Amino acid sequence: MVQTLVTQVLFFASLREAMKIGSLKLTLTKPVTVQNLLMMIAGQSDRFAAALAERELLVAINEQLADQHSMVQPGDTIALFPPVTGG
Amino acid sequence: MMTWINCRIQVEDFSLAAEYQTLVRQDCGAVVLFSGLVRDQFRPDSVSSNSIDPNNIDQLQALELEHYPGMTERSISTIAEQAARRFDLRAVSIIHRVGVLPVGEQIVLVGIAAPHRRDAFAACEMLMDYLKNEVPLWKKAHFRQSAEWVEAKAADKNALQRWEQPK
Repeated sequence: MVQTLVTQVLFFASLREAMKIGSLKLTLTKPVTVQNLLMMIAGQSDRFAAALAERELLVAINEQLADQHSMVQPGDTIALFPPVTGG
Repeated sequence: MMTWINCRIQVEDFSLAAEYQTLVRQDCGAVVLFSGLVRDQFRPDSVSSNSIDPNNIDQLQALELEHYPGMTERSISTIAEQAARRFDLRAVSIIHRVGVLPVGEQIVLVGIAAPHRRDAFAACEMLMDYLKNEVPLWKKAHFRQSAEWVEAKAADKNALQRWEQPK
């Protein structure tokens, strides 16, 4: 039996507003790249696809900045957000 | 030499006088305090360079600051530690507010205590450049008639380069 762990994906700022949700859960059975994960989310609805396509995105895996080629392990917490504007 | 580091994300305002007192050290000849404020401004596309159209003008009411609880705090601590490794510092204090902040409110404080002023000034500038580029914080501008997310500026990104070259 394959062990499955829930992967939580968080959205912030303009991306959160465009997705109309703050987070979602995915069930992964094996590690995937960030790029694959984005395709899985975009495949869920046209709104998600548009929200992810129309802006530059940064990604964090377990609160560490990562990139499109980074590997996501089942059970990781992923955050997607636009470029930061604090200070 | 150990550097005392204090990083906070909070909704409440902060007191410059109180934070100054936490930074003062017998072996420090310099304390630099920077505070960033919500500035009175117009929505950029509602004013032209040489005239103000009273029918179109859209004035800022407040900035709304969003963060990623956990990662934001950790990311601020990381840049404070980087500054402490690079410069001769004794104390670093960074406070960033979140929530809705009307025009005139304080947004951010960076406070540095160091034996000498050059390290204190430089560390303060470096920390503000990193805060604007690397810490998960986002501003939404609430104007009288509209609201929009603030776009990241290329000038802020370019400001990082001077810290990336070896000292």
